[in-house]
Amino acid sequence: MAAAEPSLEELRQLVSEFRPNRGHLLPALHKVQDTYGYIPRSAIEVIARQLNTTPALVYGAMTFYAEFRTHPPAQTEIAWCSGPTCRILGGDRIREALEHTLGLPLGGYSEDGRYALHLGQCNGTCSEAPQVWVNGRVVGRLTVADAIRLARRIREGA
Amino acid sequence: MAKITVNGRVIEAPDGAVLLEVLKENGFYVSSLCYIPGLKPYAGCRTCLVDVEGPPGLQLSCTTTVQDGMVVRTDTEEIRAARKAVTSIILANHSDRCLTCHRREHCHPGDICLRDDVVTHRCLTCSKNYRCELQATCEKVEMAGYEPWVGEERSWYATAHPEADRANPFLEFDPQMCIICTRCQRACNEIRHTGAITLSGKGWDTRIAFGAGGPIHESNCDFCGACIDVCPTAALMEHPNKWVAKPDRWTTTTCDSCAIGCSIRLGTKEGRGVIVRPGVGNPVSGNQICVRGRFHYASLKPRERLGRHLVRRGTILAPSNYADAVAEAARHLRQARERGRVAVLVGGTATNEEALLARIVAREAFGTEATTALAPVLRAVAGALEARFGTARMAGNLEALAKAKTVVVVHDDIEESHNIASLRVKDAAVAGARLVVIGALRSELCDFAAAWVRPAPNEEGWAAARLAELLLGGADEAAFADALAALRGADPESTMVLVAPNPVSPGKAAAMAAGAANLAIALCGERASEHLVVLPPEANAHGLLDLGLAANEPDWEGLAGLLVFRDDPTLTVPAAATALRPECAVVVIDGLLHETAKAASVVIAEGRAYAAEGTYTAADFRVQRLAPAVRPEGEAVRGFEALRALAEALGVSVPATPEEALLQIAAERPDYMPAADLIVGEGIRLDVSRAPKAAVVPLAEPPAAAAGTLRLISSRDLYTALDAAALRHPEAEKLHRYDRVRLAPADMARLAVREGDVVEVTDGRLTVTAPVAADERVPEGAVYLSSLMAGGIAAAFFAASPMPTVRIGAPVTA
Repeated sequence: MAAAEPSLEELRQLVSEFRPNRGHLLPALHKVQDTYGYIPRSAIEVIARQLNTTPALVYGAMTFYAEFRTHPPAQTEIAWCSGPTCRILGGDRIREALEHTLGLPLGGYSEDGRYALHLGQCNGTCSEAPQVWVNGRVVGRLTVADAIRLARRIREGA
Repeated sequence: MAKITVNGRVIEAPDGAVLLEVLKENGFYVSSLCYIPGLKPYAGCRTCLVDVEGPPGLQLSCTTTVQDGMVVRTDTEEIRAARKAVTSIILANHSDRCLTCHRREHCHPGDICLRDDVVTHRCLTCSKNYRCELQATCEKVEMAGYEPWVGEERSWYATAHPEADRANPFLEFDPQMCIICTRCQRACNEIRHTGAITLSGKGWDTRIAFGAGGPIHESNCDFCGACIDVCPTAALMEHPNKWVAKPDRWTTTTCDSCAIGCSIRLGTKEGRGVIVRPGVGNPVSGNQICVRGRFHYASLKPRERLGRHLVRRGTILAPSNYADAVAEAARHLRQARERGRVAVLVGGTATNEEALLARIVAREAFGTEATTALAPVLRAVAGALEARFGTARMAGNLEALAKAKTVVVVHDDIEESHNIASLRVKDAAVAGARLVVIGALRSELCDFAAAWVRPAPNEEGWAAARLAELLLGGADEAAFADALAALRGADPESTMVLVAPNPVSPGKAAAMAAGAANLAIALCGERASEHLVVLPPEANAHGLLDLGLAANEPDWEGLAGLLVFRDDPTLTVPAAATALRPECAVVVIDGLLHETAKAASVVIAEGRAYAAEGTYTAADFRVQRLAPAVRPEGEAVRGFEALRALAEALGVSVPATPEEALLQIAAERPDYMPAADLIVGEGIRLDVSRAPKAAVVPLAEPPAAAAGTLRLISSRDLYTALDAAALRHPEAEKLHRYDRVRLAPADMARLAVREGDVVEVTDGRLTVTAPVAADERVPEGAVYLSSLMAGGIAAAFFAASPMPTVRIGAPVTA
């Protein structure tokens, strides 16, 4: 698991370079996520104050982008590509295999926080379809058997 | 003006007006589920389709503007079909069975629906049934009878439903009922400038969310309820009386919670208030009210109000009938008059007419002048203004905020004490006015300000005076640099100065009024009084001032008798408790059994302000009508009636009705004459003339505070209900934010106390024990206590010292 939530002071320091009304909202969110691996709830208030806006606006922007996490990342993050090429080439069955083997729905985290399964949007590497990304690395041209093997390996902590 | 043809009828409308508004004004029905009059169109619901000749296809009337010669049709077959199709898309993800079922008139809650086993997801079991805009729209667009679920997949029933948020005492949010029209988000952002609501997620998962996505009470929501007013479904509802708020009568009256005098519509069922909506009348409030106006009618349960007249029999107060109670009251007061002095005290929520009666009774029966517990503060403020202007009545008009280019606010926090004034200041700032805020607390207004002058706690008045000096030709000072930059060269004509004198400390209140007056004179010169508005504590403080009730302070020592009308003086004046001895015959006319009433010989039960007929004089000398909206509880009578009966029993002749009383006031103060013609809910500004002079008078140095301790700050908070506070009710502040000792986070760390720790706050003699709460508004080195907390303890601290300081002890273990 990631470290405990950062202190308000630490967060204020982290986003102190950003200024209101300059389109700094997304850079600020990125910086927080790059630093802690996710965006702690307390950071929303800190960013809002720094950019002279409301927590609601920051929260709205943050939830609009699937990339921002409000949850510390798992050790192994698996993203299932939902792009059209992957799905034409049987991606839905890959998803079923992953969900079943990992025991998680899309968007779910394992109880011990070791692995998580997410919905991914097409990143253009369709030559590797159907694919998943394991911690951002493309694992492509999967068969259902491959997917089950991959999921088992991750589940067993290899 | 442009001429347009709608369904063959020619109508006139201003060029460029929003077509939807023009159609509605002229009686054409166009469904619209996302438009909010006055705001930019959102064009989200897509149901306001009309046919405009020229452009291809159907047009949205909310985004179409009127042009001369336009030919519009609103009821062709094509439009009807398109509206139905659009509505069915909205309904696809809404609980809709009763919206469209042909049996909806025959079914009752608890019936078994023949077509579906999920009987709970229906209008008949929805709290907004029969007052739902979506429901009405379905009727109007002929969706009733349309059966979209036959053979279609129903997404609403196919997905898990988000949880409702019912964790706060005011606002219920049920996202299941939401159709994502975003009206609440836009009302919160664009009308209230609060921005507590957002759209979270995207696509299918889009939802309304508050603050950082948590429960509403953890966001920056102020519970004003503007979102409830615009919500077309049951997604946002008032928590109190949610299920019974189908009034049998609506009465437009005036809110009794502060001196803005917002117009409200109070819905009643069998004589009891069940819902409040903004009323039309006071142009300052417009269509907005705050949490107090919307929810404080329900701050107490009916049984917690007084429904019986009480007469003392030994140590107990025994129920009595009305005639006996009045006779007993008159006997006690007459006997007291024979023994010595009798004082008459009128509360800040009494109407002008009730105050007049009390004044007549005081003069005729007791040979004294009626007064009020607010008199120390009102006199202090009046004194400061008279020294500078020769009058205490400032001619400033809050409506002028709409066109103001420069606004100065000298306050503790008007966001809390006079919320709608704060809203209008925010409006001005958003429209481009330069705002200068002078106050030790970090008000929400600071986020809108060009400059925020933060003086030492309780020195707001002196800071304003110093700023005035610098404007009139002193050197720059670093602490005032931003404020001077914002104010230099301000156009006097479009400048407004607002001051909200402190309600608990006469000394601080006087300094605030004096400082603001000096500043107004520095900015606006001779005409300063026309640009200065004093926001006094309590609803009718300026009425009491006009009737002369603020002219003298009661002398509490050695009173033989005391007549109190609708007030608990112990809550505002600590010295009042000295009057409540057995030797003093106390008669209380009030709707609550508060501390003063408990010590009384006779209590005559009355219905308080929402049962009263009469007028209030608001902050900017706007006379607002009150109409009897609620029925007094049980045997209680209206306050005016109780006073009239008591006067009769004392042998004093008084006006028989509120109308006659108002005419008598007008005979004395002719500018009240037009108020006699007001209809219910209406208001009129008194013709307050410009002050005879405008002269800067320097202030004496602020009183010194003891070093090394925490300064005490106290003001009226937004949430504590006056009625319930008078009863020392544990739920007087339902959110439990202001029944706490509020400290700056840095001070909490320094003092090693944590949120929720129970601590003692003491000045050496007085002590109050309460839990601690962190508050970023509070400056370091200060403690904030609400003026209504713990029976008005803050006033006692300020009575003991003009600049009180306190210590905080180590946490008390429970």
